[in-house]
Amino acid sequence: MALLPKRVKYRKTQRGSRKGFASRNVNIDFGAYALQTLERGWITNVQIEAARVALTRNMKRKGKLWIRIFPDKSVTARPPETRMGKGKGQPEYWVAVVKPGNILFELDGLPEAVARESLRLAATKLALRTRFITRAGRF
Amino acid sequence: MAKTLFLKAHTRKQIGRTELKAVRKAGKVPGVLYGKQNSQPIEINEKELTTVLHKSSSENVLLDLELHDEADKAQKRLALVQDVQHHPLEDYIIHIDLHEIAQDEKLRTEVAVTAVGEPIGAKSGGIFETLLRTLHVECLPKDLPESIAVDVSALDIGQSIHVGSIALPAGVTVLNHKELSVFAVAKPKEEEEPKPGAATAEAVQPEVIKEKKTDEAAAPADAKGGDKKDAKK
Repeated sequence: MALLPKRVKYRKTQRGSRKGFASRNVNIDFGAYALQTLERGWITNVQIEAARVALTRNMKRKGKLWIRIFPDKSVTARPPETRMGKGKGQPEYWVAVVKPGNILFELDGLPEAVARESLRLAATKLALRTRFITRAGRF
Repeated sequence: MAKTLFLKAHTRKQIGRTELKAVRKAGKVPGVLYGKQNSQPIEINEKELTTVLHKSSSENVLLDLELHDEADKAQKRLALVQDVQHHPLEDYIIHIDLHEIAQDEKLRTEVAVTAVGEPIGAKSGGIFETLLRTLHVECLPKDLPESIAVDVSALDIGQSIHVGSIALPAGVTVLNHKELSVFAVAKPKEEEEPKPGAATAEAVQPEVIKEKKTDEAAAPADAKGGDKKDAKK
């Protein structure tokens, strides 16, 4: 089932700003390999779930997976063929806001080739440019 | 043992975001040197620093620092690389923290733990987990290891290696709790397939915290207001 918050303070949110680079969630903290975003945008809960399924299928349940983003922002939409006005629409889906540099998924307990292929398959489910990074690759 | 590498640094006067941008543009990396004395802002040539860090295979880099002051007078210092900040995308170094240490004083730092070999449990379908990637150790600078290698080939499913059972190099004491697990092989998890009749994500809506609170807050407020009105009457 797609991710969504259990409790929220407000059901509807404003769009917010996505400018700048990521300053948090930029390091590989749990696994050995990770998928890092190179673009800014919204990743929906359905996309995250699709990427998770693609990852686990290719990993054949061998390694360990960490999802480093959470869709905590609601996006509203208006029903079709509705006139303007009458207030803001109803929450339609949930998104995670990502900025360049954010880590999306982390993997461990797998050979690098399998991790690379799994994260490539996961990246195809997302509408953003991403790259594969390793813990050993930096310093 | 960790290598001691030579590096030149200069004291720095520029402080603040705008001035540091100019420092970086000039091909230098801003940093700070701290220890028992006052902290000292420094700058290091980016190329030299990158070369030195690439020479080391671990995060524990001991630096034989030649610190030049404003009058270009050089001082010798021994420092440990405490932290390196990278740009999230470009990977170039933004800032470096150096911790001044003494040869004859024990230091406390994190040392990476690496697994050697493939566990038996992983070969038979278990999931090999690294639970602790670094150990908090205390030792003299000359005894500081680059990393601690642990043979995990004998690990079977359900078994783990604890901090207490790791063989450490001479002169190194570990400060972590001895019963903490470092490596383990877990049973493979079976993923639960979603049932066809299960509720979809769209049907489930999160609970709103505020609405509940306002209802609770509104009730006593009304009661108070009511009392006042009654009192006026």
